[in-house]
Amino acid sequence: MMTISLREKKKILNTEKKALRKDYKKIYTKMFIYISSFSLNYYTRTDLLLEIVGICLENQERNIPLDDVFNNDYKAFCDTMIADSLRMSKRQKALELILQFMAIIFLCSILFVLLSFTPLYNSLGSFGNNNPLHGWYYTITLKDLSYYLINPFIISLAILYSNRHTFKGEFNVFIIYFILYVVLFSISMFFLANLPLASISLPIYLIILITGMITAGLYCLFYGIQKKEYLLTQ
Amino acid sequence: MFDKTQLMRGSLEGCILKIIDKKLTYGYEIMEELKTVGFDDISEGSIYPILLRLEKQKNITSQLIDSPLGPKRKYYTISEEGKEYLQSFYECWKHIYSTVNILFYEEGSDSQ
Repeated sequence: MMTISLREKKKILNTEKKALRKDYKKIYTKMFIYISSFSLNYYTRTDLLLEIVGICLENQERNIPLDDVFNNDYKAFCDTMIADSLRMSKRQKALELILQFMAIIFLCSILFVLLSFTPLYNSLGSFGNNNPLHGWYYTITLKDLSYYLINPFIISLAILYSNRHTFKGEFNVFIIYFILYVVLFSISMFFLANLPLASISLPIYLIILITGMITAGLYCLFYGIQKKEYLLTQ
Repeated sequence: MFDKTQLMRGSLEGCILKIIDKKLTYGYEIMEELKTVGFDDISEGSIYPILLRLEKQKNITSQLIDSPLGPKRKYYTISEEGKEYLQSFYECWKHIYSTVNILFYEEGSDSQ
């Protein structure tokens, strides 16, 4: 395999992606979505995408339609390319899910504080009455906290489910994602709204600090494991 | 009519390795050379998975070199393991070739 770093590979990938013309980019995007539906090792996936974008560019320069190159079946080509490729274990998938979950909470917390600086804050009344601007202390009920946590959790689950290889067409993925999101969110909201939960107080900066630290730790762990496994195959 | 595709596919890996053994080359050039020697039905779609597999097996190594057309292009070179693999492929091919010939030509006459 090539002896260049992941950062460098990503840089090349982005540059080459931008160089693709619309029709070539369209097929590349389809291939990217298809490959992403497999739980491939992150480093292996980058290598594969680099390989594919290179093929697309090479043919673009020669004005050869990609349908001719892939015999009108890009999925079959991708299947051959990813055969025997390094994949994530179930534990790594679980770790990825937790990482996504924590990252969403972390980003939502920051977003919430940023929103408090705008007039929009008044429309977020259901999340608490104390403006974080005054002492950076945000009162939140356990019930509100549950709303706050369950939403990103369901989104993460839906994203994970929509990435399953089972779905062949992109439109189907979208429909299933949307139905899953609406159904799960409605059910959870219905139950949470009817639960008598006690009120607790949590400073928003503490939520940001804790979720930020956990996200950073999980990020290092997740990519560390991925890199270690990838290097073992080199 | 006999379908030659399967027979050609089986030998494609060795042939690609032989082309890489001759010079530093890249995917499209390999395909062109294969077409020149008689692999008419070959598309790039069939070559790249084989190149990837050969690379995973450490039979070839790759490097990105600036192409005269613009972006970086992946060039392949054969490794020591690849040279051994190529040698064993060729020995195997010669054996199959002579075995088939024994069946079809006995004592110098066509037995068909």
